[in-house]
Amino acid sequence: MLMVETTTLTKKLEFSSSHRYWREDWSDSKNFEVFGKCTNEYGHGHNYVLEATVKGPVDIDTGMIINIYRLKPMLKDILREFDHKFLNEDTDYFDDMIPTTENFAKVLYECISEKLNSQECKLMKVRLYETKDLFVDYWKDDE
Amino acid sequence: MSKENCTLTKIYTFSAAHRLHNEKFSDQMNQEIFGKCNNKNGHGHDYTLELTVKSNIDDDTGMIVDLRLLDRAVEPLIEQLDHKRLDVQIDYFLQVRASGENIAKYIWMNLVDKVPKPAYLYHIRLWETSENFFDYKEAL
Repeated sequence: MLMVETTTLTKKLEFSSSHRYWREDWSDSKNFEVFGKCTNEYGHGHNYVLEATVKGPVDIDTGMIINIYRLKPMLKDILREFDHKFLNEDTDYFDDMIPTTENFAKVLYECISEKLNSQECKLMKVRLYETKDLFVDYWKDDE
Repeated sequence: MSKENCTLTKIYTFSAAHRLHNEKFSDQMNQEIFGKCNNKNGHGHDYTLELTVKSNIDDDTGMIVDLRLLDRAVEPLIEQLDHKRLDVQIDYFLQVRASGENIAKYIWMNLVDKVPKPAYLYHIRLWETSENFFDYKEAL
């Protein structure tokens, strides 16, 4: 049986943002019922931790999937849009979408995936910690 | 075309004692197999449970599960295990070794039907110490 080797690299970065869960098309009481204290009018914040996992062949010359010197600034550049921002107001991503951890992980996945497109490796998974006891994984399967 | 996957993991902790011992084995054999985990009066761990559920992201709420409902579903089990001697006070472990593997399975069995729908239980990781963990999942 032929074995296929798989190597992944995960880069971890911390950033801070605030958000609010609120739907204008719902009554106040329904918003409070569904989103609880996340409805606070002025938002609230978290120290998010992003773990971006990339997959690809290990280069024979460098021994690397991707050079962290390239990956890290690329990720930092993406996070600049979100770090120390109010996600609902200061970014365009959440105009029609609640900035839940699930949706935020999806947005980050799309942003990173697009940037990595031209590179030698592919984004395999995004893990986004909202607090130390809660995280979301987001990935895609080829169909 | 690619299919999106999203899981949410909530982390819970509990502290419990156990002793690994099998009546079927001689004392010497118990010692040999279970080593210091065979200590007669038990020993304890701070367990960390990573409970992963999966579903589609709901269009209206942006969520795959209501965390308050998930906590409500999980807390009775945590309550049952927390600050207990598992192999003495939990019926299931009177017959089955309270090993990390079996505790993970017990948690799965107890929660698989309790996760708020449409989310479903996807994966369990149980840390026994900061150095070892057990993964358990049953495929659909």
